Amino acid sequence: MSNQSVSKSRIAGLTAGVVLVIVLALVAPQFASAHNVSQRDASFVESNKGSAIPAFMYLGAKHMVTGYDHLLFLVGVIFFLYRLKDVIQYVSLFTIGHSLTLLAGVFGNIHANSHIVDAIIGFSVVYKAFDNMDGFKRFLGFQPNTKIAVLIFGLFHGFGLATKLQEFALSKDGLIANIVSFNVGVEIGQCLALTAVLIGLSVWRTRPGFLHHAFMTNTLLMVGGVILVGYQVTGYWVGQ
Amino acid sequence: MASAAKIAMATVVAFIVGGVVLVTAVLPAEYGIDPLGTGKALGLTELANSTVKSAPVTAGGDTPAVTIVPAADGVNEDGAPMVKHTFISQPSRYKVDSRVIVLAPGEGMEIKYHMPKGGGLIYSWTATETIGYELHGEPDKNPPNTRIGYYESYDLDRKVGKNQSHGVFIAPSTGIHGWFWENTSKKEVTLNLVSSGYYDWIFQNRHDMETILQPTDPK
Repeated sequence: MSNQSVSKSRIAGLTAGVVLVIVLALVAPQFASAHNVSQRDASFVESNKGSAIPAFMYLGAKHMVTGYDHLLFLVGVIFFLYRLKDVIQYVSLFTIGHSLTLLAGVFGNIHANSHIVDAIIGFSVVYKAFDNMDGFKRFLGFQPNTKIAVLIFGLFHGFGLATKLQEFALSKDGLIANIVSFNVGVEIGQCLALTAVLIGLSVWRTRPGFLHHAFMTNTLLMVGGVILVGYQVTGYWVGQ
Repeated sequence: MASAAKIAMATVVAFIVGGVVLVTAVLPAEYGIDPLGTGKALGLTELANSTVKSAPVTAGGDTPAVTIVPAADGVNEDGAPMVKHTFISQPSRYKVDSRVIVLAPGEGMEIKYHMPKGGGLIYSWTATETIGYELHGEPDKNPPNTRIGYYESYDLDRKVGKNQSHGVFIAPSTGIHGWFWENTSKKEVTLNLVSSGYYDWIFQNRHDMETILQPTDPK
């Protein structure tokens, strides 16, 4: 373990980690506003009458691509999935989960507190990172079903998506078409983001020391989750 | 598979690092909560208090003085003291305007009154929720070397907001003077604005559309 290439790649891993944390900390405020549908998009959503399928699809995709909480969780989920078949299986479960609650939340007019939902989404990142570190196997002596976990957390992510859409007074005309379009857009955005992550991961996997850095990366993923939980819980208490 | 000690250690480190970033950077930047003073040191608390636009904020002292100065020398014919700076002559009959505005969550708009320099305005606005606002004005003629979109700020609270504001305002320049409101709450807000003053027309900016309105009681 003391040869130069290992220590070099270890430094590279550490540097990447530090950069990730700094970027998260500094960019979070800007992202946070991008994360909610922006002011200009908001007045579009409200002034919109009737169905506007491409526009709502775009909003859904934009939300997913800029929604770092959903992305962190997905990185955790596909981190150790090597086969495309597995990736598709897990991502489908996540999609079923969040689509169910997105549609049920908006149509059923279920208003969840967005801070609580977003805190649970942050927790899902912590959970998945701990899972990837084999924490459950080590401390519980067994592996909790990963597919059920993805489905359940998918349900919470969907409530998060629903609360974002519900922040606006949606016109009754074309409501179904618009919400479904938003949902389709979410899936398009998710595909785009996932493709980028998968390409990055597969390149990385071919390099030596992946497993060592994998542990480190999941620790950083957990850091991201902890920040998200703290950010949302504080937001809940100060009521902003 | 990593050892139990390694996993436990990584988890503890993750919580500590996450907590440190949260307390030193995220909370100061997002909510202005700064227990260690790091947000102030790094200039992050600015993010929590500040806003998109930056404009020179005119201090209260720069507006025409309405400080009441009891006269030391002057008296009237009955011997009563003459008190200065309490009266500003106005050029015309005042107008009255009242409006009810409904703002969806996240929606913002502007109402501004066109007044001559020294023109007075008495106003009250009340809202059903706490909303962000900024009382500001745009002179008809920009001061030299200022950019397009120049404006002056008189009073603002865009972060926490208020649910009412009442005041007397004297225009520091000929131009449009009034409010930007933003519904920062999660609910639909009804805003009640009533004013009387020496304005001739009203500027409205809503949904990125600028319109000229007439006072509701122009007589």
